[in-house]
Amino acid sequence: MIGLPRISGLTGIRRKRNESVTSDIALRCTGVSKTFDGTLAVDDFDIEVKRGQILALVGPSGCGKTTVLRMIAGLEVLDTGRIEIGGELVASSGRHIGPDKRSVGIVFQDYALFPHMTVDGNVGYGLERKGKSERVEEVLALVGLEGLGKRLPSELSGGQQQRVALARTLASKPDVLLLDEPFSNLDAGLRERVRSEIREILKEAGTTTVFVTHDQQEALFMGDLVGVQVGGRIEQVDTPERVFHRPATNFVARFMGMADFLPVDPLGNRLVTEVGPARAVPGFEPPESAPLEVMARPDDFVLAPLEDGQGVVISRVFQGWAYTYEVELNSGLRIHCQMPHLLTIEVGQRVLVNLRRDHPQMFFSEGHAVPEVPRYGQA
Amino acid sequence: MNRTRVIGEEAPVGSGSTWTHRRLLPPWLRREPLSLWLAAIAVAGAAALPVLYLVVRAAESGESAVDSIFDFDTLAILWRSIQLIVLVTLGSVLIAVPLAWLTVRTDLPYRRAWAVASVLPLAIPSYVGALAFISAFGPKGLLQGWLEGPFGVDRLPDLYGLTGASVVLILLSYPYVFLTVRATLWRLEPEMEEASWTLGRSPWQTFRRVTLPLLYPAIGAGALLVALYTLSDFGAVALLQYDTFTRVIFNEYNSAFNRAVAAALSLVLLAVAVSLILIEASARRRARYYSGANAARRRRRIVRLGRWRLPAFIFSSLVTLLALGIPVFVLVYWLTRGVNAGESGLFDWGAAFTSVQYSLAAAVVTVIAAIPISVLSVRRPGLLSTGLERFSYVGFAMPGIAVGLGLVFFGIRYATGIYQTVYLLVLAYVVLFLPVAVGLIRSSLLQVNPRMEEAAMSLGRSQINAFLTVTVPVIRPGLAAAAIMVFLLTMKELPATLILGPIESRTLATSIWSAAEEAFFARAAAPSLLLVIASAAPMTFLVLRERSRN
Repeated sequence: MIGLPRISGLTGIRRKRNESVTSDIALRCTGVSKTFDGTLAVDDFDIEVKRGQILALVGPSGCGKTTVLRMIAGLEVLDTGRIEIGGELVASSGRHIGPDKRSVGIVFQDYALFPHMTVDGNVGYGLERKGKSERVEEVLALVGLEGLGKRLPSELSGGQQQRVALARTLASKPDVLLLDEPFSNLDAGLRERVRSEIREILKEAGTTTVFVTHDQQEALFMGDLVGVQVGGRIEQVDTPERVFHRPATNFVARFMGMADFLPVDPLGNRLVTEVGPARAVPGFEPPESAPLEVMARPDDFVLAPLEDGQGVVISRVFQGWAYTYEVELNSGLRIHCQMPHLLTIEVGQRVLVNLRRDHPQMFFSEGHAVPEVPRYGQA
Repeated sequence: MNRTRVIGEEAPVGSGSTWTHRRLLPPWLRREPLSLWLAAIAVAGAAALPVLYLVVRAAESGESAVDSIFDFDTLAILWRSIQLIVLVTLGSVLIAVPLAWLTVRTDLPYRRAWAVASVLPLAIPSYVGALAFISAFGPKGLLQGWLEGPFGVDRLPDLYGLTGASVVLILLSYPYVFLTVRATLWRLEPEMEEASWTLGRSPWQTFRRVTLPLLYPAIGAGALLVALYTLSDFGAVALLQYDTFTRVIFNEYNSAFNRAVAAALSLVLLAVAVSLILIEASARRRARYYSGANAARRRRRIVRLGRWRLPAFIFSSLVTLLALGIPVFVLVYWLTRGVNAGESGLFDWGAAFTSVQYSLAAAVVTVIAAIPISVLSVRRPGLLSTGLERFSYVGFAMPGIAVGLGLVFFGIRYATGIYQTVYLLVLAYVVLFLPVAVGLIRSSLLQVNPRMEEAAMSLGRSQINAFLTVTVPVIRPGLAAAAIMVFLLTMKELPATLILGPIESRTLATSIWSAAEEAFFARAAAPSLLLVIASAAPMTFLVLRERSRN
């Protein structure tokens, strides 16, 4: 298979792109589903990634993120739907192009470096002989591992192994790069440094990337786009800012950061909650009959000790720069408030709780944002 | 199973191995009681006895022993042994690697059945296997008899010598390679191969460049077991009349009463075994591969054989037919013939009873002897404990015939009271099978978190009490496995039993041997079948357990 013209060793480009087919969409999944032993692992999954973009897929464990990645790589066969890479159909029901014939590279969670080969051997593994050593050197320089080519993987640190795995995949210039929880094997201190290094490398190489993680902070940091996945489905895809500030659903709001939901009583043009009026965007129209809730993050509340306040502090967590209080309101609802560390309120103290009014809040009805936020935002 | 099996496997590294390494402290400052150290030293000393007395005996005879080593005969024996080892090892690898791959990674029909059937030849003692092949394919054997009538064949190709010995030993020992390769195939991370596919390599290129190199250490470990088994084998080479070390040593000792030569040759044999171990160890050092901790986590892809399915099926069937089917068929054939002819003395219950007695004694004593060394080497890794553990491995390198001879010299000289009694014989079994017991007990101890015992002691138990109430129950499966293995190995052991057994006592192994020497197949059949069945049952259990774990 290697002798076919689809791999050009010198340039590392696997497939001559057909210019007429080429669009700026590097990866498109349409209605992809996959069932394992009767359990729906991936359900009607849609995504579009432009050339050079990084998509971070984030979701709780078991939501099918890794299965999506493996289907894109060709390591799992999809049941229904279509996957297109660089405008070419690589998988649909009845069509499956093998992993060795797709221009896709995957970096596994535990790197899967070949322990019996040197760093050079690993990085050059997918390349043709012609021009191999130049390309290996080039990629090792890109990931900052010059001069370590003769080492064995076992002689490298975890962060270095990670970069070898990345270099091995980048060497043959795949159309799409897949990263499966790439930082989960690194310790916390190393992780933050490595992820910004890797983001720079990917941006420099201009590689289209799909990146899977269960860590919201990582997704917000790494992604040009963040896709929130739950139960095998995409819940929302958008820029990191919009996914965080304008979640399409209750689930996204809770998953991306601590969020409380308070029932709202629309009284004329006032939106009244147990903690005072909430501010909405101008022209906000509450739904006619359905129940309405306002979303509030911990920093949206203001607390003040007050004997006849409408809540009581039931726990306090010290975080250094701030306290997070859990407050039980008279209605029995519990909310989370973050306050600067300058003020210390004792557990058991009654408090007055108000919503900040300096920015409009998000409203939800029956689990969905009001007004509706498109699941597929600006791509 | 052979006593060498467990040693070649990597002991799983549990939390225990990360416990404190106070290498420099003298033993009496460490927390383990002195009595444990003394017990371990005594056991290691006993294990070293046979080597010591071989050296003493050879040295006493002075120049004649040295002469006999450098004699032309020795070189010829060495050359024959090496030829046999190379042939058997190569043959075993060529059979076992494809078979292991087929039963783990492909849609071979009935692959679970083949997985069990491919291990079972280990249950056949080499003298039984050789006996069955002589009876089936030898001159005036079953095959020739059947061919004579219709086709007038009165001669078959000669079975004796190198050809017959290597064929029989390949068929009996390829399971060692099969087991180690299979275990590694299960452990290999599927991501390795997937990474290769996504990098544009075909399945065949992936096998050749990624999977096979990752199997080299397992193949090496299995090949070492095969080579040591071949080197130490006495039954098959003796019956098939191929003069390797063991056969020559036995004849020198038994017929020629040339004991100095026998001792000298035993030392050469030991040196060859040690070199084999060193060769494999250095190869392993060069290839210290990372082995996946979280393998078999994901379902792995099964390779569809397609049009290769039938050839693969025929290959597996042929191996099992030759290695398992023919011996069992021949034994059953002779047994029914003997019964029908009304032969008497086919079932030697006395020998069976003696065998069970010896084996029980060996199992109990060996397991008890193995505990101090195992505990110290796991809990107190250091110069002394590692040294003691190495001593316990004497039996791994030392063929039964050499251990037997060493103890004969020791018994005649210093322990006439126990010479030719069951005590010295059990000591020989302990020396031979101590490595198996230490290996199994060590690997189950490594799984035990030493913090558990510390917790028990912090709750007010004494150290010995904590060990008995916390650790022993946890490692009980390991202890049981060790006892069962030693029991089975003792049942089959031939040369040491022949040399050291009390006069007039008959075990299953020795009665098969004397029947075989007289070509009295019918009398050998019943005890052989008994031995095979007794070994096959626990082996099947072990293989099935491995399967359900995966």
